[in-house]
Amino acid sequence: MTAVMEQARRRPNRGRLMAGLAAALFVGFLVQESWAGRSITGDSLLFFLVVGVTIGSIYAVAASGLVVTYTTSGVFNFAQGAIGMFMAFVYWELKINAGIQTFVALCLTVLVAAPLMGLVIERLLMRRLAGASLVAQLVVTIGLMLALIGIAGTIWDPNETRAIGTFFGSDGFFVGQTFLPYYRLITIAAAFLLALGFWLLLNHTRLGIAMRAVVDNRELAALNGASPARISAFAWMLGSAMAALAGIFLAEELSGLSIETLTLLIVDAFAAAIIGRLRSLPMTFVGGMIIGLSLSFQQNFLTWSGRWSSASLAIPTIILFLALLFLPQARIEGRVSTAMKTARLISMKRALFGFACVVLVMAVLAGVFERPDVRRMTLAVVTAIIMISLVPLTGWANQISLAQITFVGIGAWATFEFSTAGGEVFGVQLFDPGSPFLLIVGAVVAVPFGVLMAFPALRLQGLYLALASMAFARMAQFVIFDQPEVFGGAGKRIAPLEVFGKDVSAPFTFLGVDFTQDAGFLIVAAILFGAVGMVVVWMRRGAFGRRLVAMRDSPAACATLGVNLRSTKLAVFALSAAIAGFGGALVGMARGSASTQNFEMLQGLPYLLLLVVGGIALVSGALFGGILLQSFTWLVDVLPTIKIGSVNVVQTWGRVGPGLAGIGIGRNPEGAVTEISLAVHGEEGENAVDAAEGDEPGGGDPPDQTPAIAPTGGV
Amino acid sequence: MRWSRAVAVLTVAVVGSGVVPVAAGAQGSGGKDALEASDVGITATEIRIGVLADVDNPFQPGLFEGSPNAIKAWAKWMNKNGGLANRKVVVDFIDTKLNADETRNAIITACSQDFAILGTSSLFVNNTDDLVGCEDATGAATGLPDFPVVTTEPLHQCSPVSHPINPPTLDCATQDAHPQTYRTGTAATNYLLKRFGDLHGTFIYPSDLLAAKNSQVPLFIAQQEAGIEADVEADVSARAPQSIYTPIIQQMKDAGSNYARSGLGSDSTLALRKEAKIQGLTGVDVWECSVQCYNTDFVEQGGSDIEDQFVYLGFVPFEEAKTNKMMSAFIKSTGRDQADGFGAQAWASAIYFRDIVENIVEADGPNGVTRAAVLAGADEINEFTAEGMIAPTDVGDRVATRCFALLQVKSSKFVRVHPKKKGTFDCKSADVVTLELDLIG
Repeated sequence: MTAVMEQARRRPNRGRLMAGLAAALFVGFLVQESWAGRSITGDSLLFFLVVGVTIGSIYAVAASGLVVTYTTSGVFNFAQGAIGMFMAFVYWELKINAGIQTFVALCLTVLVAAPLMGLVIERLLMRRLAGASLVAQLVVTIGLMLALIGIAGTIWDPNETRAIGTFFGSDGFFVGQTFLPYYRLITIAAAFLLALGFWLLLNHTRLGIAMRAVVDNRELAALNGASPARISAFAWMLGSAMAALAGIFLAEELSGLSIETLTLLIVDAFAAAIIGRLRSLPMTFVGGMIIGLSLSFQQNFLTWSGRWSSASLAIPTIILFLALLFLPQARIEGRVSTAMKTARLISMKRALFGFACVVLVMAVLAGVFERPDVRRMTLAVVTAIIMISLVPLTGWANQISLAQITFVGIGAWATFEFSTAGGEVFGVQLFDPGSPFLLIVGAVVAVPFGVLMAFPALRLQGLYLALASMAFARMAQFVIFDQPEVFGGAGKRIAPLEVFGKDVSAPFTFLGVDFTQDAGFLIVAAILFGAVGMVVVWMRRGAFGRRLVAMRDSPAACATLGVNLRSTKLAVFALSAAIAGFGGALVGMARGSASTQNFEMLQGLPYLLLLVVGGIALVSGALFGGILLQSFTWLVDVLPTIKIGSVNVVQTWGRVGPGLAGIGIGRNPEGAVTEISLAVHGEEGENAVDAAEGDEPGGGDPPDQTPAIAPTGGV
Repeated sequence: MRWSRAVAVLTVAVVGSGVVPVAAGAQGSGGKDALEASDVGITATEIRIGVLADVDNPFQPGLFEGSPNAIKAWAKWMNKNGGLANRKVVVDFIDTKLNADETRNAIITACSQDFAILGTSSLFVNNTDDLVGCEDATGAATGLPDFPVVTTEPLHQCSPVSHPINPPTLDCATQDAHPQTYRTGTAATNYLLKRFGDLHGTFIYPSDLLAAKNSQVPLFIAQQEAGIEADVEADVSARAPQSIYTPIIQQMKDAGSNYARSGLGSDSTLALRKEAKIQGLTGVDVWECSVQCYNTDFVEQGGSDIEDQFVYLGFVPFEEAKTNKMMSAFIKSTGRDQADGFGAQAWASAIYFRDIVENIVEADGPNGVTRAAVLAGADEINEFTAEGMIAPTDVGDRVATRCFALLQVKSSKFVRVHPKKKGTFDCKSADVVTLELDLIG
C-alpha cells in the first residue's frame, strides 16, 4: 500500500517537472524574442526598483486581504477585488461628493463601511457555505463579484470621471533621480506594516490562533471556548477592510475610478497570494514584490512587438502559473467538503426520451420565434453543449476548470483554419467551409490543449487547479489567440454549417409552417446537444464514469485499487476539451465569426457559474444554465421598462442577474434542476426513478457511495 | 382579421394626426407624386432609421450613449425642418450591449425594420453577413446602408455597405493581402516639426486589445517616417497604475526627449502627464494626443498637470460652435452636456445620409429613395464636410482625412493653435505616407 501511494505521489512530481520545464522554456523563448538589450545603470536600477516596490506594494496589500480571508474563513474570495472597487467608490462618495475630510473619509470607509459589508457578506452568504463544496464556494464568490460590478455600474455612472486624489497631493522626496511621493511611501509602508501586523495577529495572539483554529476545525474550536460564528464574521470584516485599503491605494494610482480596473487588479494579485501559499503574509508581501519588480524591470529589458504584442499583460498570470507549479500547496481544506453528493443515474431509455423532448420543444420554438430570438435560443443550446464539457470534469471528477473558454476558442479557430477558407494545412486543403467534419476537427484540435491543461492537474487539485486553469485561460488570451496564425487581432469569418451541401441555417417550410433563417441551425444544435448528452450519460453509466466518481471521492483509495490516476485525469481533461472544442466549432458557426475578444477568460466564468446553478453533475443542469445565461439579455429586451427613481429595474437585473444567480447557489448547492425535481416529485419521484432503473435489463445502475439526491437525475 | 383592421385604422389615425402636417407640408413644397413605401423602413409618411450602439453592459454602462443621443436629436431637428424625403424621421435605437451576438441580432432587427443605420458605435461588428446580405423590399440582397462612427474590425471598415464617417487608414483593396497597405496623413506631424524643429521622444501604444494597438501602429510609424525619432516605444495597459509610467518618464529624461505621443485614452494620458510632473520631467515641447483626449473630464481632472497638451481633431471644436451652423445645430439639439466626440461624428454621419437622400430626391423624386439608390449615392461623395462641421473627408472611397485642427490645453481650456482661423482645418500642409504593414492575421 505504501509503495502504491509513493508511486502515486511520485508521478505527479514528474508531471510538475515536465510542466515546469515547458513553462521555463516558454518564458525563456519569450524573453529571447522580446529582448531589448538596453543597458542598466545605477540610477536606472534605483528607479526601476522604486517603481517595482510601489507597484508590488499595491499587489501585496490586495493579496494580503485574500490571504487573511482565506486563512481565517477557508474561502478563497474571488470578489475581493470587487469589494475593494466598491469601497473605493464609497470613499470617493464620502471624500469628494460629500466633502468629508480625507482622514475621516478614510476611517469611515476602511473601519466602518468595509467591515459592515464584510459582516453582511458573512451573515448572508458565507455562513451558509460552511462545509459546502469548493466549487460552490468559488461560484458564490464569483457571483458576488459579478453582482457588485453590476450594482456599482448602476449607482455610479461609469461615463463620469471620478478621481479620489492622493494623500499629501504630489509632495514627496527624491530617491536618487526618482521622485517618491508621500502617498506611494504610505502604500509601501502600509503593505509592509500590514504584512507584519497580520502575521503577529494570526501567529502570536489568542484571537489569531482562534481564527485559524475555526478554519481547521470549527467544532473543536468551539469546544475550546472559541465562538466560530463571531470569529468568522470578524475574519470577513477584516478581509473587507483590507480590500478597501487596497482599492483606495490603487485608486490613488488611477486618474479616474474604473470598475473594471479596480476589480480585476486582484486577479493579478492572486500570484502574490499563491507565493504566500495562501497563509504566509510575509511571503505574500514578497510575492507582491516579485510581480511589481517583474512588471517594472521588463520595461527596461523587453520590447513587446509583432506576435508578442499582448504578452506583457500575461506576466502576472505566468508568475501565478509558475508559483502554482513549483510551490507546495497549503493544506487549508478544513471547511471544504470533498465528498460531493452523487446524482442518481438515469436509464438510457429515459435519457433518450428527455433529449427527444428537448429537440421537439426547440423545433416548436424554431417555428414560432423571430430570427433574433431563434439565434438567442441557438446560443443557449450551444452554450449548454459547452457546459456539458464541465459535467464529467467538474461534476464527476471534481477537477475545477475555468479554462473551458480557451478550448471553445481553439474549436472555433480550428473551424476556420482547417477549412479551405483558412488555406492549406501542410499543403493539403482539408474541408469546405461549413462542413460538419469541422465540428469533429474542432473537438480533435482542442484535445492537445486539454492534455496540456491536464499536466498541472496531475499535481494540483481544488482551488489550486482552479487558479491554474484561470491562469491558463488568461495566458491563452494573450499569447495564443493574438498570434497572427490564430486570430491575430482581427475576426475570422466562419461559414454556417452545411449538411449534405445544404446550409442548415437557410429558411424552409415544413408541414405548412415557415421556419425563419437560422431556425434549422437551432434544431440541428438541439439534436447535437442530445447526441453529446447521450454520450455523456452513457459514459457516466460505464466504467469510465464510475472511475471518475471514485477518483473524486477518494484518489488514495483509487490508487490503492490500481486505478491509474494520471491517465484518468488526462482522459477526462481530453474528453472535456473535446466537448468544449466541439461546442466552440458550433458557436463559431452560429456566430459566423470568431475573434480574441470572444474568448477572454472572464467570458468563460459564467459557464461554471451557471452550470453549478443548474446542477454541476447533470446534463439537464447544462441546458438550464445555457438558457439562464441567455435569458438575462433576453429579458431586458422583452420586458417593459420598469423604473424605481432613476434606476431601470429590468436593465439592472440584466447586469446583476448572473451574479445573483451565482450567489443563490449558496442556499442551494445541488443546483436548480435538482431542487425543481424534488419540489415536483418529492420522495415519490425518487422512489419512482429507483423502480424504473431497477426495471432496466442489464442490472440497472452501478451503486454509488453517497445517497441519491436527484430523483430525475443523470440528465 | 377584424382586430388587425381595427389596429390598422387606429394606427393611421394616431400616426396621421402627428405626421400628416410634416408630410403634407413637405409634399406641398417639393413632391409631385403620391408618396409610397419605396423600401423597407419607408412608408408614405415615415422613414425609419436605426442606430446601433454599445450602451448597456456591466462594465461600462452608457459607453457610446453619445451616438444614439445625437441621432435622436438629429431626427427631431430634421422633422422640425420639414423631415427627410418628405417624410417624418423615426429613430429606432438598438442596444448592442458590447456583445457580438447581440450586435448581430441588432443588425438582423435593423435590416427588417429600418431603412438604414446611422452613427453605428458597436465594437463587435465582426460578422457582416446580415449587413451585406440584407434584403430590400423586392427581396434582393441589396444590403443595409450603414454609416458608422466606430469601426474596429477590418471586415466592418471595408464592408461594401458601410461608409465610416472617419474612414480607416487601411486600404480596403489590400485587406486580404499580406502585408496590407495603410495610408495615413502626416499633416499635423509636419506642422509640429516645422514649428518645433527636431522632435524625438516617446510613443505609447495601448496594449489591452491587439486591434486597438494595430489601429495606432500605422499612425505612429507614419509620424516616425515623417521625422519624429522614437526614443522610447512602450505598450501600456489602460488598467495600469500611474507608477507604471515612471520608467518611461525616466527613459525620456535620459534621452532628453522633447516629444510624447499617447495612443491611450484620456484617463491613461492624464496618468502619464501626472507622473511626468511629479518626476520633474521638463523639456517636452509636444505632448500629443488625438480625439480621445478631447473631453471636458480630461481638462477638469487634469488641471495644471495637462497644461500645453496638444489635441488634434477632425471636426470643429465644440467651443467654436458659433462659427459653424451645423456644429451649432448639433450642440443645440443634443444639449451641451450630452454632446461628445462620438455624438458629433454620429451627427455628421446622419448629415452624410441626408445629403445622399436629398440628391436622390432631386434626381428621382421622393419615391426613388431605396436602399440600392442610397448605397450607389454613398460611393459618390468624395469631399464631405457636413457643411463645414468636419474636416474634408473622402467617405465615398473610404480614405481617412488628411486635414486637422490643432488645439492646446491652456488654463484648463482647449484653445485653437492651428490653423488660426476658427472653424477651419489645415489641409494645405497635407501629406500622406503609404505603409506596407502586416497587421491582419
